[in-house]
Amino acid sequence: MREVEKAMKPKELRKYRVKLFRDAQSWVKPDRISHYGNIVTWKIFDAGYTIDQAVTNFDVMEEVVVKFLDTYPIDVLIDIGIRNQFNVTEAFGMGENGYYYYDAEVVGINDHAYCPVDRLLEYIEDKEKFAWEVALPEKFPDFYEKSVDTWKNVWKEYIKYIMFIFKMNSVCNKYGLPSGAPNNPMKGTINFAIEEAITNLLGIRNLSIALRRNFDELKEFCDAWHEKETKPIIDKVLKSDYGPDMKYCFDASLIMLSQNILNPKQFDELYWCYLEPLLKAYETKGKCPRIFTEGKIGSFVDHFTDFKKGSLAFHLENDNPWEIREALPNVAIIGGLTTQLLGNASPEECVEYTKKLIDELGSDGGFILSEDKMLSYRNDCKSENLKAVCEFVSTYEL
Amino acid sequence: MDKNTWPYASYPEGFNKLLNKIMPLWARPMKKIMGPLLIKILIDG
Repeated sequence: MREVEKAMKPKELRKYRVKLFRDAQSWVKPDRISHYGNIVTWKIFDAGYTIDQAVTNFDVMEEVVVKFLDTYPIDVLIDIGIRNQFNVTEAFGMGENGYYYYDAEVVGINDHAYCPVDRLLEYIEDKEKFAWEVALPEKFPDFYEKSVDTWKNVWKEYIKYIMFIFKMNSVCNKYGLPSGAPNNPMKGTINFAIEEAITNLLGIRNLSIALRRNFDELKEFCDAWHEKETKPIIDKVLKSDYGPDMKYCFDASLIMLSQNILNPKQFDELYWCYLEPLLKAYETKGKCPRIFTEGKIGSFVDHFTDFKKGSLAFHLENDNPWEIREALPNVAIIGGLTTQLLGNASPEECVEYTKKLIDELGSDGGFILSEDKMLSYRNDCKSENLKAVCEFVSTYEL
Repeated sequence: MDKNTWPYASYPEGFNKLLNKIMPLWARPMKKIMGPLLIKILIDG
């Protein structure tokens, strides 16, 4: 860490880090490249624990996060230990009906579906009503047998979880860590119909089938979602003050996953026609969202060529950052570090590659360092490699 | 029990009735935010 940053108080450091992100995404040469830490459950192993020890114990998870922040100078951390609702679901008695699973080495999620295609419009009409009256009783055969005492225990765990979120935000404040973007679990994330379809409502399998057999129903659902969910967000953005919200590193955080199974026509009619107006709203108001383009976005880069520099930042997973820079010289890039490198190379090789990324992609702005994948498994990264990269990027002045 | 006999089966009436049973008084003003989030945790989890 640079001496000038070591001397900063946490509030000052947080503001400075936001400026580093904002400069980079606006194509203003920052003092140094910022590091967006895409590190999730890997830090549990690095702290000497197993997954099952950490995800059900908030004290252990807090220790994991604090150890991580003490060891690795990072500018934003995608997961501060709060993606962790197992105590709530286990108090309810999820059992084998839950979609998530974990053991000592892994947290995973099974492909699942809780809304048939012919009920999607009913779902969007009133999401909570559908969940309470239809989806939950179908997910849990014993839903109507749950006692009030069980619900009281669920509530207790829920409150503990909420308090843990506040606590971890306070921990991050002490380390001068800013928030990535304003949408969070409490305020809700910005999501699109097709993304909710692939992750929860239909799942990958049922969506793939529905794309062939029920395109019209999907289109009707996406239209209804746009009216109810996305248009109000667009209106809010258009009414907001001009310019970036300097409390955050980005003005929004979006995840794109479904483009990996959509053909061009499906992408245009089920996704782009709703996504474009939102992105244009951000551009109009001088704001910049971060889009985590899971899988690849390469097939659809032509859709993003007309956006002004400074109005978009792509967090890349499997796309080559140099190829995306060539195809989209107007879009800031977040990423570059691969698990292949971090898990297998030497510290010197990792630093050399990091320097190459910075010198070739970031010397005039437009680049933020990050890991391509959410570091989740034990072998995703060697501790000495991440340490070396963090030390280098936090001290390498442009 | 089933949806016809469970006293909390309907939304929002039954759900709010259940929340009133399990939420402490101090938390009830936050029902509108915390209730839907709890449902989301259970349905997505």
